[in-house]
Amino acid sequence: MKHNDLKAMILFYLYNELDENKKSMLEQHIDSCNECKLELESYKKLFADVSNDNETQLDPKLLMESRLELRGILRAQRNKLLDSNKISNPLYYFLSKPIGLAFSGAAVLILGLFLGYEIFKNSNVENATDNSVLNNNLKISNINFIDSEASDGQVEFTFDAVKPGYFKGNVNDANLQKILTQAVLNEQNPGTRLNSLNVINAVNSKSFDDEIKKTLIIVSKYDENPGVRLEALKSLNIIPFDNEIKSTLIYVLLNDTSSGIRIEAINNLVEAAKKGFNLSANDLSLLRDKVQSDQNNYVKFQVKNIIKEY
Amino acid sequence: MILTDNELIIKAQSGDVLALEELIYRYDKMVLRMALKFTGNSDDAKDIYQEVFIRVYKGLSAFQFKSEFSTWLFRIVSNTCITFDRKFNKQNHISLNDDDDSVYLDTMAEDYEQSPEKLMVNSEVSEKIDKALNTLSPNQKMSFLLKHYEGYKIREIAELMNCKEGTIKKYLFDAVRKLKIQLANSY
Repeated sequence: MKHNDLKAMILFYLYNELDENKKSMLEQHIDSCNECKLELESYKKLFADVSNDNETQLDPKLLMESRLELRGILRAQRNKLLDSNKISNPLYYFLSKPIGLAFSGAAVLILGLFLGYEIFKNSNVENATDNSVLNNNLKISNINFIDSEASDGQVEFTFDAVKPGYFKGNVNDANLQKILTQAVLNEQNPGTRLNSLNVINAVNSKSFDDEIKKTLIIVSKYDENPGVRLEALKSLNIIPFDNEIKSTLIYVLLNDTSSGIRIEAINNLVEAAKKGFNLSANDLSLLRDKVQSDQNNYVKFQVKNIIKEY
Repeated sequence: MILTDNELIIKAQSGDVLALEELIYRYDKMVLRMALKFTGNSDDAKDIYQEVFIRVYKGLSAFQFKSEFSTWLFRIVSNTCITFDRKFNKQNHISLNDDDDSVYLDTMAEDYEQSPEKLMVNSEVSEKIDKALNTLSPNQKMSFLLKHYEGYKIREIAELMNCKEGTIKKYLFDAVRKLKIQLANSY
């Protein structure tokens, strides 16, 4: 094989994408060819730089913003889907019957008359939606442009019109919990998320519903702010221990980068073990791996204790 | 038990919103990083991130478990990035031919310099790599990112990008050659 053909294979040699025959041919060639040696080194240097670049952290603020915007968009998509399902499914079934066809004809006629009346009656109203939003002093947020190109004089966007609310009541009130659960998931400000979690911590465990538990699990695992994750984990401690919470603690123990949070997770697991909660063989195997890999001695020590218990 | 992707998909398909969120949060960092590396711009990256997960949301009900979720997801990421690039960078693409993109290369490099953005908490080398990546054509860049940042094999990249393996090899070869030149000039 010629020098140039072999040189062109160096990249795929580093990708480990050559068969054994070509690999050994290339290795022999590199041993005796300075140009190919240098080529190999230059690839290695590039790969090392790219590998270091791959370790850099994503800007947490950007991730949080992206998640919040996505959540708003998906919520809008879901609502749209729910509305169209409500309308289309029963109608489709009904209109496919002969009596339905007769009914639809009559309905179209009535609707036409009604719309005609409404259009002429309200002919002075130019844009009811905009006026109602502006007149009610609603807080506009979360604007998402569908078409921001203004050269044709038209733009299109969705937005949330938020009405300020006030609530005073018992911490065990279901409505209050619902508001705080939404705040924990959706509030951009970590301080507000923390405050909401602090109130949830004061809730009587008997009045916790499944939605709060699921929210706390998501926040414990995925919130960008370590303080919020830790508080959510503490809140989970109030709820009666079960398999879902156990899985969350193990997930946090295996994945969280903050040793403080891993310590909270392992402490909760130790408490559950003391109360007689069983761990599966799979859980124990994950924990055994953790003893080898965790960099925090306290976490290692506690994991060993749990493994000994079983 | 930690739920698998497929278990989460089944729950999400039956309307469990929290399962859908958990599934998204398993992969969304990777998607956002990929979009950032591809576009070199946080606003465009956010647009791609949203577009990808809207497509996931809309397509999930028809997901038939014939491939891994991650494979399906990265196929969407790849398509979305390349379509996005074609749609919004049309004016900058004097040449989209992957064999002859020297003019495109210069235009993109210039654009990147004109709108520097603080995209990641990264080092000087990372910034140089970002700048060099923006000199690649969309297909070269996507192949390179899937190979070096997501660790896919050439066969898998070909499947994700719906190309032949030979085509991906050429994209990668050209991408690496250009990056070497760009980075050598900047050191």
